[in-house]
Amino acid sequence: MKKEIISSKQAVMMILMFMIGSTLVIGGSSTAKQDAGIAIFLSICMAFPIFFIYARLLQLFPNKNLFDIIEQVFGKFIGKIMIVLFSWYFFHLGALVLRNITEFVQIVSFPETPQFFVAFCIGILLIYMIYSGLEVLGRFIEFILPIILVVIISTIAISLGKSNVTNLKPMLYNGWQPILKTSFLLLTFPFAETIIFTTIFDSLPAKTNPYKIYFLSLLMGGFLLLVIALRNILVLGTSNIFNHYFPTYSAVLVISIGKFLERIEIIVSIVFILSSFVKTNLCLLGASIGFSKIFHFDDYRQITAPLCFLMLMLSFILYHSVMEIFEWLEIYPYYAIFFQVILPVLLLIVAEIKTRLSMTKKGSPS
Amino acid sequence: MKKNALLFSIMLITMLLLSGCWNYREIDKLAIVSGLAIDKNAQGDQFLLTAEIIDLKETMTQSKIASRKIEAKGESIFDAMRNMIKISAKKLYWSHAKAIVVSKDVATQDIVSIVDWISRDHEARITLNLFVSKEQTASELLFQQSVTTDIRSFEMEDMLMGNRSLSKAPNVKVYEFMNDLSEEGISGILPALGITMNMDEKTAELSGTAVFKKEKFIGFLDEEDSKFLLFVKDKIKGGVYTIKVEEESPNEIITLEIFKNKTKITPVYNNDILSIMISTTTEVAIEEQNTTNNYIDEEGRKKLISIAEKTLEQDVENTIKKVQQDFGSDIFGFGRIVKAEMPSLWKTMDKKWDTIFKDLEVHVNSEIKIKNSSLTSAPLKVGD
Repeated sequence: MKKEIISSKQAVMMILMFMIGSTLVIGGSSTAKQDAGIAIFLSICMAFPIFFIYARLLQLFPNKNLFDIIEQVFGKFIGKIMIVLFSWYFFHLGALVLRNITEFVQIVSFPETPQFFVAFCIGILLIYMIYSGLEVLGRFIEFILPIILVVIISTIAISLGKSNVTNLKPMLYNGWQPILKTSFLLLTFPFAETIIFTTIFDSLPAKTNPYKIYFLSLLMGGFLLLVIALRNILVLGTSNIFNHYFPTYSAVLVISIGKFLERIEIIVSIVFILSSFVKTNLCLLGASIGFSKIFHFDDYRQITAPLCFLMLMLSFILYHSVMEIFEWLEIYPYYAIFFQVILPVLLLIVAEIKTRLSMTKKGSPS
Repeated sequence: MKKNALLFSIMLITMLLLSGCWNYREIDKLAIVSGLAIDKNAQGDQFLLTAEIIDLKETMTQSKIASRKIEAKGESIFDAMRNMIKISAKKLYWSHAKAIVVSKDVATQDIVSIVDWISRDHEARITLNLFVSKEQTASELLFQQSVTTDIRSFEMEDMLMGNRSLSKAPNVKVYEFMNDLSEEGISGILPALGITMNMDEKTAELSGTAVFKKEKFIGFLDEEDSKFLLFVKDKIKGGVYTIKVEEESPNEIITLEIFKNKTKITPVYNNDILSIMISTTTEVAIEEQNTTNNYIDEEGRKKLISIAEKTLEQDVENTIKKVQQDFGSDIFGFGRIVKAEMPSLWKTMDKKWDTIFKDLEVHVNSEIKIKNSSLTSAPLKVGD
């Protein structure tokens, strides 16, 4: 099988898309109230060392994905367990994102349509997309991301006329505790979720610097999320944001220029759906690669379709209602941090020791 | 061959998918709501809703719109809305609703449930306009003759838009009202609607401000006071300001048109006493004068400016005093500004802000800039 190659530009765009994915839909920074900006800034700072770990792993083992690295470092048995854990996490994450977006579509536009139907349509597309391969995904993102950025930036520019600076004040009124809590949540959702890219970045051309890709996309994605969160606060005010499930959607709903430029929130819904679709796609891809590694398939595509349908099923049984999505966000960081930080750190430590040892073995003439 | 069969089946499936939505609604099957009036019955246990719906009459050559009304009762607002189906036969579509008028009773008791429904429902938009009726009921406002459009509720929205160059009522959208309700240190206001006579026919009129305290409606501010309220809230986009220049001749009136205004509010905390400094900078033009005195040359301008500044300061201070004494409700958002600028001070007084606000000292400092006197360079001379 020919190896798929994506360019580093596409890689950065992928991470950007992934970060804004479901974060745009359900926000997640409302507990920090007017200090959401500080919280996002803090979480970007916290994400730097974690991104360093991911990039270092990729640098230590060029042209190898996460699962290859695990197998090489931990050997067959422990390696298998870890691969199962990671694959489960990607699989679960995909189901979570899928549920977010179907729930959003149902609440906002189709209250009477069964969620299954929306999810099924997305699922078919997911399978088609993955069968087409990573290169197609990369080109798709290269095409779609500029449009998304134009929509996001122009809606921000338009809505600034309705902003009220008093909404941002007073800073730190409720102390640091809610800020730290929110920044921890934002660290695990969406920043550190980019662990998923370690499974596909073996497709980068040789001699690409993984640090550059990870840090560049972190800065850009973080900046985008920061600006959007600030806009939401400025336009809607903190109590409105606290009340609404989808603050970004509501903030765009308010836009009205003259009497002709209004009701443009539908464009933003399309952006939500597209970016969440890409995020689910990457999750499914990661899970497929992982499970095909466990069961020794030659090609991850063989397992994609069943995995996708299982993911749909999982997304239906995850929550009973939209309320539970937001309750889950309270617990999610503690669950995700295990896969996003603890396991990778463990992996990196062992990998560093092993490579050092083999280096000295090679280096010293015996 | 195999490929063709595959292609054919794909096309068949797409045909199924493209043919329509799950629960599609055609426009002729919808009752498009343009506005709503909310009252309560005499016992106060049921809501009486009157919805204005747009009636599309299409002939071969032209399409005309007309307004029709539907009335329904219900235990809650949503209940009453669904009860309308009994009459209309069509499900009501709320996305195009522009105005909701509530009666005084409803504003006193149930404004929370209305705001809650608007922010919760996926069809109703949070950019709706809420009005409080000055009359006995809210529904009678929907039945008045409309002047410029056929749809009463659209005219209500247009009145608010046109109010930019009048500034006699606040333009408050539902999401802004929601913010004011839930923030501490600020109380909500809504525009008020009354009935007036126009060419011997009754018609609705935008008149002043409805003042809320917490979630309860407590009274109306008249139009002039609403203007000075808007001055404090920095919401003046236009409007007219008339002043009497000479004290000895009260019939001499000069009319200024306001073009721009910028208001800054700064809280000052000195010797354990909190006071509010308001400074306004207003750009005006001389639009009309009923005297032959020259207020356009430098000397006259100076005099005009100094008197206009003084009267504006006086007027704004009077309005604030009136609100403090009559309502005791911080509709200016002074508390919100204290919280924003002096958070540690606010923490000591947020519980007793109601009493502090009543005796709050407010100083107004106005600056007026005359940018032109329209087309004339000197007042009309009256010859012999």
